[in-house]
Amino acid sequence: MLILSGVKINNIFLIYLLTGFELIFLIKYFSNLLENVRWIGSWKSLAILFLLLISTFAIKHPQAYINPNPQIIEGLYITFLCLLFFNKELKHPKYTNILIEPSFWFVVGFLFYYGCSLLILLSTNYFFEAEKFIYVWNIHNLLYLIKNIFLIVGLICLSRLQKS
Amino acid sequence: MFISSPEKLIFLGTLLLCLFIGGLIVFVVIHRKRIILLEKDKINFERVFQLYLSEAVINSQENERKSIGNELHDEVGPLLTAVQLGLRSYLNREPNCNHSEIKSAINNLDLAINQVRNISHILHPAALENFGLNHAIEDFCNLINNTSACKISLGFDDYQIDLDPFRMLMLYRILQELVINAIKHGNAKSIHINIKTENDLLIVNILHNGICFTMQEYLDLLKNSDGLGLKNIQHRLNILNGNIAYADNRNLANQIIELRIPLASNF
Repeated sequence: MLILSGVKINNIFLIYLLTGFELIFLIKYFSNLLENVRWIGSWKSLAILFLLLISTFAIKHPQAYINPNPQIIEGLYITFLCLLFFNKELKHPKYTNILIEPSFWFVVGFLFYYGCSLLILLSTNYFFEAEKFIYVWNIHNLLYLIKNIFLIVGLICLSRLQKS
Repeated sequence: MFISSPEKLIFLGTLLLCLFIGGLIVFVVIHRKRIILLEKDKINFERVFQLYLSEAVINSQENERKSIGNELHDEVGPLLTAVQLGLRSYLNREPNCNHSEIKSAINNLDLAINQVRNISHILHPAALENFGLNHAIEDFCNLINNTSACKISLGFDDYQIDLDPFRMLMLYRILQELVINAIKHGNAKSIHINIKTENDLLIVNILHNGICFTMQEYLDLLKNSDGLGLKNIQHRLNILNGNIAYADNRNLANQIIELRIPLASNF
């Protein structure tokens, strides 16, 4: 933030930065998870395009407003990968209890947050401009909290799995 | 209209998305549980099918043994006895003939008759059908004791063991195989068999002073050995839904093999 204030860029840039890093991290995670899924290579290539797009938004967009498009693109992309994961689970199920699999809880967390917050993200600028119904961000924060709870459950499952 | 503003529409849309995603997650979990149940059913069905198959194979084996045993006992045995009697009467009628050769033939026939009887008893233990497991095992032990290869003692905690004839025969065969293995491969000179019932279980302990393998060696041999003896024991145990336990140390002075078999059939 100090660097950003030094070069006179406001902290909206941080949101783009976070979105980019988040996308890279999640693509890495899902490419391991969906190793044997068809077309996953094409989807990974598409992700590079998305990253370029997010970078363009970050550079070109006026600094006074938040551009929600990077987060929407990320949300749609991750939601699609989560649905691919569930599709894989339905088509080729393993014969173990899904509730003890860490990957299940991680994907549930991502799907819940990215899938449910799509509409809120789509109308970000409307809410900012209208300066009403501002408590919609509480719903967004709640979804974020739920995602983190699911991630914690996944981490607990992971540590139990490693112990056993 | 009830929903008038776009804010409420977004709120409702988000709620619907939450419900849809929640429903999807619940569906995936229920689907997986159903798949696991189906797989369990399938494995169980395959296991029961395998058991029925093994039971059918063993039944046909036993029937074959029974018919061979009966043939030996009822056809070959009397024939040999008739030849022996003929030779004896010839010996009485012709006092001038070569006694030693005839006597040797009679003795050999005696051995052959005994062998045929023993083989027929091993192939088809009539005592099992007529007098029950205890008596059949006693007969088998006497047979071994007569050979002086090994001394077998028996201990029954229950006078009459309540098993159906098929399970009785299976247990008898397992005991036969284990005792013969202990003598043949373990060089056992003394064996003690103890049979008792505990709740709904029949517990058989075979204590011998020979060499015996450990549980791990038994499992390895089952997987890797070409021999039929152990595989037959395990097949029969599977049919009886029983299990076998060997000692974990092969350097003990006395080895114990323990069989645990449910008294009732599991089908």
